[in-house]
Amino acid sequence: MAARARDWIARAPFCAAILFVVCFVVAPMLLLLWQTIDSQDGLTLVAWRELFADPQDRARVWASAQLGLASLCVSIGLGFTHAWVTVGRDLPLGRVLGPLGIAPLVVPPIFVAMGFADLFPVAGFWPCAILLGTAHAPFVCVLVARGLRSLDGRGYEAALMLRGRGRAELWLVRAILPELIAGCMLAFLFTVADHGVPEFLTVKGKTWHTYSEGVFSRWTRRAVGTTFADRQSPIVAAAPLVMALLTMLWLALKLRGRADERGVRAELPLRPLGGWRWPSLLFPALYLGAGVLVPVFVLARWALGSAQKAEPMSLAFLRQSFQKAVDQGVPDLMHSIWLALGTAACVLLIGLPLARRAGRGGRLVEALCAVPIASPAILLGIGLVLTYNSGPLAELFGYGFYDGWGFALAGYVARFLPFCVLTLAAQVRRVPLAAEEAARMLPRSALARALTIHLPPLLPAAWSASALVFVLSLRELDLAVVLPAANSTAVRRLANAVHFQHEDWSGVIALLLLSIAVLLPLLPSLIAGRKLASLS
Amino acid sequence: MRNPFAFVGLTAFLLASACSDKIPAGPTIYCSLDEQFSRPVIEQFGKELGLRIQARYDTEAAKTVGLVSAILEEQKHPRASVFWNNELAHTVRLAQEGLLVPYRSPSAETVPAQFRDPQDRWTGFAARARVLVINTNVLPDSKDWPSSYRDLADPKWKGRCAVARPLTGTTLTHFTALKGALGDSGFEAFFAAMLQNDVKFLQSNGATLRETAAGNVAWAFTDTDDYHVGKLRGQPIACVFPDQKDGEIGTMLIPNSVGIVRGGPDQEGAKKLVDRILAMSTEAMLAAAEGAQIPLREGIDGPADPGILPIGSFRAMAWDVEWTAQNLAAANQDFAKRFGL
Amino acid sequence: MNYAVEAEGLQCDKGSFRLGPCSFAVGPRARVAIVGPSGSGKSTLLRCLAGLDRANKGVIRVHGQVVRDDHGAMSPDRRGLGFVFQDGALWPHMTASQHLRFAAPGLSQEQSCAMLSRGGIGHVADRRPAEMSGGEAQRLGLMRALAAEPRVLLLDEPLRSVDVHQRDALVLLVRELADERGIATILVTHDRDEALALADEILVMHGGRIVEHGPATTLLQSPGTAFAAAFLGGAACLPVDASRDGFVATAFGETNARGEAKMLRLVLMPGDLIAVPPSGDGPRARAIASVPHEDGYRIRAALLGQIVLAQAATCIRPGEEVELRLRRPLRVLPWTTANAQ
Repeated sequence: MAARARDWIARAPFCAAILFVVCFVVAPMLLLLWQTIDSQDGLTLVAWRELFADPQDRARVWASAQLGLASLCVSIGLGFTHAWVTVGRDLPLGRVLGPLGIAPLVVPPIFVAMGFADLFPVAGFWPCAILLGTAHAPFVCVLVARGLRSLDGRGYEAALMLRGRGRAELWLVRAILPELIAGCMLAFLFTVADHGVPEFLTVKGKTWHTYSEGVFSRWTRRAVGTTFADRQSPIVAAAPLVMALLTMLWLALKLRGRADERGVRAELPLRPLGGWRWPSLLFPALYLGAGVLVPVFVLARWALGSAQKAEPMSLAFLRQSFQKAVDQGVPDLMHSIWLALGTAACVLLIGLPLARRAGRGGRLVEALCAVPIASPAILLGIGLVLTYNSGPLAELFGYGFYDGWGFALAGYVARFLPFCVLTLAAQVRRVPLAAEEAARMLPRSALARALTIHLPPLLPAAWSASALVFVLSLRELDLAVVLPAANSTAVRRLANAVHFQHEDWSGVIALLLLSIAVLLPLLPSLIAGRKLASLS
Repeated sequence: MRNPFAFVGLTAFLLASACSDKIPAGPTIYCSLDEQFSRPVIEQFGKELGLRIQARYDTEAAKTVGLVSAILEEQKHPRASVFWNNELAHTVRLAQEGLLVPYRSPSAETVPAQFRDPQDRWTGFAARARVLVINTNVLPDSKDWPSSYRDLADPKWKGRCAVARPLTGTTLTHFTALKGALGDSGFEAFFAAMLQNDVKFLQSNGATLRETAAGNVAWAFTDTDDYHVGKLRGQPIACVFPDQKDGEIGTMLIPNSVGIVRGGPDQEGAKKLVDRILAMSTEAMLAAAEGAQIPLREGIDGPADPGILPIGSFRAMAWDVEWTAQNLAAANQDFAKRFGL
Repeated sequence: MNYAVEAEGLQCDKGSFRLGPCSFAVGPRARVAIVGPSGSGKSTLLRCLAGLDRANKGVIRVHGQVVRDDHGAMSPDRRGLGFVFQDGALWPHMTASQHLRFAAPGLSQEQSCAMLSRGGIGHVADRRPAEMSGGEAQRLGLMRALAAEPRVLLLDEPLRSVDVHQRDALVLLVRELADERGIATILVTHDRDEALALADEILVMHGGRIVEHGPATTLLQSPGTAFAAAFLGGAACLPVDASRDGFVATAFGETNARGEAKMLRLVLMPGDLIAVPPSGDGPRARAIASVPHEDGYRIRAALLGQIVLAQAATCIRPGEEVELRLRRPLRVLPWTTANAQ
């Protein structure tokens, strides 16, 4: 009996984590599916029958696919070239520019859109593709850089000896193809699932719509819909998108997993850029300029009063903006920080047992945890709202839960759990199983083993995952719009404020948000003197 | 993070503190008025009344429809006590659905009857007018300015005027009411003429104002609050109250509205809050604020901007509130389809 | 008799591989080596004893206490077994003394240092595994296992990642430490020399089953199976043909033998054969190599597709044909036991 009790105690974290996934990922998604067939008049497929019946639906799917592909080209153009010229090269400032490859990930896509929209007309197809491609280029950049760092340099040297520099470089591209394709798929996936930027560009005069926009627009009208099919249409319409995204995600993970199995034997030798040494600086300049500098520049201009035609930009105006920001946005900013910190911490607590199981052969666990990436955030949000607004789970958790921070936190954790689980599972796979078995043989408690043996090797990856989740939580807009308590976060407030022409103080809040997103995750690394590259 | 115990402890603390939310003690207000203005006002009301007010604000992306949807979704277990809508039709629709309880606020006695529900389920106050905003650089001479909603369909303005898509907010209410006023065939003809005239249908009233201020269009339909914000920012714009000539339908006036949600928390607190919202001082505050809302009651100073006319000094459009509310959802679906959403 | 470890009908399925059913017993201070080729299931058997792999059936007792039966299994940490892994399986983030203190929390810093010194690695007390040699790492793995004061020590190919020069020292250390503590050791290896150096008792495995179990000297001198003879004694095992009832035909003549011919092998131990220039009726073989050995030469020659060892008085050049003569009576044994335990 005692042994059985000990077994259960040892399994408790995993069971609790699975329970969380069931409550906040599986249940909402199943409820959404169930609602599409469960009408007042009994079970019906009427909502499903209308799927793609409307030519506009098909047009939106086509528009999303085109936009996804076009923005992917931009992501490759920016992200791949940045990684290519900064990793294992003699680029001036390459040691600094390389780790900065992850920097654009900190900037929410909506900020990139706001930045460009302030300087250029952005309503057309290509501007839209450029914006989204820029915002999602870090996925390509980070994975390509990782691929280059994890390759066996001797393979490159062998190719160099046999076929010369040009062929060796081609060999290199082929060798990092799994990472490149995985990065491309992630970039594509995030582009087609994004509704915030296309919706923002509609404000700027865009007249065509993406599939995700359609889903969101239908959702806003869902409760005032006139028929059952109307009300269920956002969920039904999203189903093919989820399936497509799931497939892509599965492929991306498989490719990335294959790349993970590659052991480091010898570092890639330094590959001189030759005459391209200085001109190659253009690539990081473009990548970082478009992804970071333009948005930051525009936000700074806003804070200085560029949106005010009545008076010129000035430091006095900046002071005013700052004062307004303190009055208006600081509570939202604090909410955002607490929510992001809470998410980053809870995601680890829940993600660690799941990642351990996923990393030790639990492919089903890994697939289950990845579902929230494949589903547009807005859909997960809708599912959560419906599940915890009323019904058995709402009764179980109490009706107050739905309005509270616990609900927002749970939603954010569910949304970002995949990033933590996937990152940590990869790290778990790198830790030899025998080292853990050695601990199992010793007469120590499960908790002692977990804290002393299992956790420490995962801490660097846990820190990276946590930092990533912190940044992603800070920039999350879709869930913030749907979940009641998350309404009072800085990004949602900013999206609103810009609509209402409060560029001045929202510029200040956005800059503060970016500073926090950069500084908080970096702080321990800076204090501990850890290499910045470890974060990427 | 060296000490795993500290990490686990911190996480557990955060989780516990995050999940410890209880049902709020005071009333909860759902407010679709611009948060920058409404938040300090509601906080002030809470202090004045000694109530712990929970507030949920409008999301621009979803506009009023988002909060209305939330109230409809939550009807089995209402979370909102009070709904402060910055327009009227959706409030009436909630009343028609039986989601608002009758309450005759003492503060509402002075509100003109046409802005009150005969069954006291909602009360209107502080209105915005649907106006034409003109770029004065593009059209410096006021004689050239448009003067009617019909100018949207006038070939003279082909490709040079804009209006928000009538999918949410005041534009949806406006177009639905217009549909009621013109009849189905009249409205269809008008809509087709607008499309023929390359009217720019933009995402929001804010967007129409920006396009006008930037000179990308000569003029646009928008609300007085958007116009006023632009004016304060020094944009080269002017405002026209349309359809003021004899025989024309008049300028549409859309008041804020407030009602008590059936079954919401702290109904007594909700009544106190509604009383406070409907106080004349609130209308005065709204008139003096950036949104420059037009007071519905006499004896309250209107907005300082001379471009925004006080009530009674212009011909207001007579629109059937009940009909508009009843047809809002269908019109919304119809318009969404026309715009590919 | 009270055994250190007893297994009865132990069975474990791992994918398409099945271990067992296996039954054996290990005396309280016995030194047992489990030997067999790769994939024979020896590591799986050891892991099942340890509880690291889950057995499907069977009973395991450690010093008379049931640690696994069909009602349940005791977790590995409670079985009183120490386990030394192939490559040490050390924890990369911990120093050597931290390893010991995790295994035995009651150990002081001084005690852990003393224990490390006993293991010959006192100088690495503050080093992490990355800063140790293969031999040091394996010694630390051994000391870690012993720190928890196990009743039986299990070793899974402990010398595999150890430098050839350090192997003998480590073998001696294991023997000494096991003797000091009076505990049984069970070693898994595929190396005959390692097995003979560390164990007095051998358990031969093939295809997931135990084919022989007995004292090392007995198994070396008179193996019961051709497989054991080949594995432990380096014997060549040649196929035989059935001739008539109870007799089989071999390259060296007929002999009586039990069992099916296809399951039988002619066992030729090193030293059983003499190579002479071809002159008689004996089987012919082609010499591959010849090295000086004792008073003459040791020849390697190819016979029926296998390499056999034979003694020769003179040097025979590679490629030359030789005649082989048997020095001892013909020995035909079953390849493995028909009903392996």
